[in-house]
Amino acid sequence: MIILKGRREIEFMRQAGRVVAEALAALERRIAPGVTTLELNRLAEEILERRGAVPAFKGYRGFPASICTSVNEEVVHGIPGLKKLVEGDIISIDIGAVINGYYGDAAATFPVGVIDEEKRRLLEVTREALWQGIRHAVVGNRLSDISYAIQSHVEKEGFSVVRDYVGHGIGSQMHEEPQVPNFGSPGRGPRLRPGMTLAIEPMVNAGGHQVMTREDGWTVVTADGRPSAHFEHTVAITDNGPEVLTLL
Amino acid sequence: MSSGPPIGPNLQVGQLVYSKAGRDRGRPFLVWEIISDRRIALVDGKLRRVVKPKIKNTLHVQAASRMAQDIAAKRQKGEPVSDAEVRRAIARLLGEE
Repeated sequence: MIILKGRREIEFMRQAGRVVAEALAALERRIAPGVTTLELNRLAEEILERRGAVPAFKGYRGFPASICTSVNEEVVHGIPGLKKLVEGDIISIDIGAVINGYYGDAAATFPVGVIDEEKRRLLEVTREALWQGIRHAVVGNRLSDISYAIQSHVEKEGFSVVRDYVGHGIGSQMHEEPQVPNFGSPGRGPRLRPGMTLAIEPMVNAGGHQVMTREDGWTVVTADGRPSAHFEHTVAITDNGPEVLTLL
Repeated sequence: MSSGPPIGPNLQVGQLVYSKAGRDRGRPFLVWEIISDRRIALVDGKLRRVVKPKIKNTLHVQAASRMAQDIAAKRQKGEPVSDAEVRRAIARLLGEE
């Protein structure tokens, strides 16, 4: 069942979304060669705590950290650790926060120092794909119009979208209905209505779309070892168009 | 944080579903296994026993919101589940209607 949110609920999600956006911006400033993903996790926890937010991911189905840090061929759900970032890496950071029982969820992929041309283009295309999806998150469209916009933009640029993991509805739960795939034909699925809140999150691989999960049970990596990028915003569908809740 | 693979109408192991198509149309089953985003295995302990579940397209079932938590937990732990347990679970869930 898709739960429509009222003004008050969306306001709580806006507050959670703002904290998430602040944390992502602070993490981006900290990213540099030599920094460990565990340090980034600690910084995220400090920011969330200072703003009175609860980390959404910590303990979720046993996930051990407050952010997901996925480096290079890691697609999503990477666990922060002691490995240091290296010049030329890309790192996807996914962060969620809860305020007054409502969730905000966002992700972005950042370069570590200077990156090669393929990675630079991968980041650019994935970010653009997210915004293509958001542009189609309007009242009267169908859910798969978002999916189709993302997939067609990504594939036009020669990359592929991950099939095994998808975006989702969000609100008083981190994962609500509907699921928001990044692929599919247009004009399918539920019609978008005011009050729907969605986490739209293209995961884009430079190579094939196939992925595997590492032995830690969490870290999803590309099957071909090529890099992957991930951008995400929490979006409320309103009569005035999509409102991105995870912006500063 | 992205969610897992899209499973048609968000089905879970242990969930009560009704067949929408085929000779067993209208019959209640429990989801025994999720095979892919489009295929699931169903059991009812009578027509479809746990040794030979029915494979169905997810589009051909109507999901109910009730779950046999005990069956789901046993399946997750890899413990054996008998046909009698499945029948009892379905009867209990139907009694909740």
